[in-house]
Amino acid sequence: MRITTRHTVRTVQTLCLTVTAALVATGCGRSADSGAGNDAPAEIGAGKAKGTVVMWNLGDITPALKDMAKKFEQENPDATVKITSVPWDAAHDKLTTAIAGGNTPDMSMVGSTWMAEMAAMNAFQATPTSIKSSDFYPGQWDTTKYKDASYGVPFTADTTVVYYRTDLTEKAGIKGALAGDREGYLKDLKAIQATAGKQNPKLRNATGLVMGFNSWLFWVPMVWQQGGDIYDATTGKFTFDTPEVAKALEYWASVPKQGLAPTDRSDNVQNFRDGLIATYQEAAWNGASLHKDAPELDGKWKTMPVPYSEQPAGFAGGTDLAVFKEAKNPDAAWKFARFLTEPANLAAYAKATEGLPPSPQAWSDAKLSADENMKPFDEQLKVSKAQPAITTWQQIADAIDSELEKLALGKASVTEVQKALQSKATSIGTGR
Amino acid sequence: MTSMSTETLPGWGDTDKQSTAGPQRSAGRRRSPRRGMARGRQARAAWILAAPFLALFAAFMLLPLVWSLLMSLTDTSSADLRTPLNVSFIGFDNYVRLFQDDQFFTALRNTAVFVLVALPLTLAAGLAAAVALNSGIQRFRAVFRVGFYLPVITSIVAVAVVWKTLLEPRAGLVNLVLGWFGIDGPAWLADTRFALPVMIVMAVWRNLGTVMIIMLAGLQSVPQSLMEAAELDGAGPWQRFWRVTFPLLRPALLLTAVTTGIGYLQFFDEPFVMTDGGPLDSTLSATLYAYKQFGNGNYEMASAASYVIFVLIVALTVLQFRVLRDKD
Repeated sequence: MRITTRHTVRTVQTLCLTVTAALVATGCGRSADSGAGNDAPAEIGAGKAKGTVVMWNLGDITPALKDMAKKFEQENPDATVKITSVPWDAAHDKLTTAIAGGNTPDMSMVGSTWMAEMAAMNAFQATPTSIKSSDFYPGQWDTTKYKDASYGVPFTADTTVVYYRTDLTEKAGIKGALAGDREGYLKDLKAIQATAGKQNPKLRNATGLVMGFNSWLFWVPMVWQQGGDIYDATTGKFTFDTPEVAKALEYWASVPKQGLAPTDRSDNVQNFRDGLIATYQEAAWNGASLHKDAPELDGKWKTMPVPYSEQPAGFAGGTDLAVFKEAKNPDAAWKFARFLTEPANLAAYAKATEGLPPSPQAWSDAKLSADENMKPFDEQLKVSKAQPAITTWQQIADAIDSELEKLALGKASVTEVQKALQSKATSIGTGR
Repeated sequence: MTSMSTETLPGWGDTDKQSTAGPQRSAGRRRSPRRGMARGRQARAAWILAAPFLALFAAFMLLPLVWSLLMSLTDTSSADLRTPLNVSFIGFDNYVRLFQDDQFFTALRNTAVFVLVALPLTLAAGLAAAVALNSGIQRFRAVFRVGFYLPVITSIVAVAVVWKTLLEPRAGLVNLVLGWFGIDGPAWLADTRFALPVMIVMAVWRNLGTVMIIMLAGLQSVPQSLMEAAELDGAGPWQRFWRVTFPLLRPALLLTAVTTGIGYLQFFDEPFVMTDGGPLDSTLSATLYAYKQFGNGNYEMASAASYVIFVLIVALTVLQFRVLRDKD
């Protein structure tokens, strides 16, 4: 019988480092805010970068990034760039461990939803003023923020659109994209559902739904589409008890309630490929992998912006580049970050990795809109927003995930879920 | 991860057996100075040899244990790691909060159901398999032994991923086969009624091999003469098993019950890989709850939850020793 302590080992390593200090600490009170959230912007010196820059990269190091590092070294002959790959699923723990131990590289790619949490740990330097927020999509820039300061530069963007199978939707009498307004979209889904087992013999459900983990990514924008929000940054209060949230919950519940989507956690991508569902919402990587893994479907699927009721909205994800407070070579690190986030480089990187760039300039430089299926992403990036920049976000997200699942399975009503979310969120709080 | 054994330290051999040179005429009570010295030297050598292990054990097991206990009594969160002087001592508040958390109760209930159902089933199935192999099947014994033991040595993550694929509601093999018989199979892992039972079945299938191997060893140490004597006294096969074999298996049963019980209380991998605790927290285990709290930066709550699990493990182990220990 193997005993699982895998997840404690990493903790242990972290904790050992600070144990001596903490043994003394148990009697001390909490001091005032330690500076995270109101740091002065870092300065970038004039002249060329010097010395070694160590950067952590999430996932495999792409050839595109290697090329850019080479180019940077050519432009700055006295600088060397060392890039280490950190696997995505271990990255969050590895970063927090490194931050806790004061054992960080100079800079790192950071998942956009981790920024607030790690900035609150006093990990990052504030972004220099020479890097302009206006060069980026506003939602992407907001992912770098914690309290009143920005702590990084957007590097890759991520947002979702609706993918639909034209061969299946045409049989339901829908020409081109489905309706872009929520009412019309629902009507179209019902029309598609009516073809299940008839004109579309294999089709089971009109659309796919994400159940459980990360379903909040798809739901929170529905609140924004109503002009509402789940958190008010000025008062520091959660606003799950507002009518806008109720409306978004009703919409979430309506799709499975009318049998328009399966609730069995089956794989949307697989279902879409097999023609069991006709539409679903997913990020940009999905298009690339459909081309690669299901070439027989080429030309049978298209993308469209996310349908909305009052105003368009989407979720801004992706990664940011951050420079650590403990960096040995912060000046060169910022210079490399600045270099990587020049529009031309962002464009080249997005093209090479089949991802999305976080800046409109890079988008047009890369001529991404030449691909008709990419256009909706541009529209979504313009209206996408980041999640609230609070350190407890992941817990709030978990709570939303589990409540949405109750709703989709019909185990709780909209009112019950609303109450539960407001009280859960309030008791979790916003951290510090 | 393997568990560390702490009972034996290298070099604690019985020094008396290691003869020193020369005939020993000294009486047992008076130790020759030379032997005393040898002993001191050996003890020192033993400590030196054990030092690396002891240092590692202290650094990576003992300290974290104490540290985690301290954390569970303070308000340490991830933001405090860089400023450990920022935490306050809050006594048992975290434990109070833990027991006010419905989710933690759900996690404890799931773990309890898992242990109470899977543990007896595993022991019974393992014992049955051992008895069958020991008596009936002579020809393919090795094959069966390997077959039953194979799941134990396979990586649990690989096993979980394969099962997850088999149980996929639409493309999975299980529902495909059920479909041939006209049965519309459920969405196993996405159905609150089936997700935990599936994991119980998995655990029994995976761990009965361990129990079987240990029981087999126990069965083979039952003296043939005892059996013959019982037969002569007119005991039937059933009586022979319950009156002779079973009591002799008690130590083996205790060992497997304790180790399997501890493992089951730390039920983590399957829900972590297969369902992430869902659907609707129906497979959320106590350790997974602690893990999630830790991932969310609530180190104090994760520590408190871990200590609750620790206390439960101690309680279960003590209970098992009480019930299964040799009565004499």
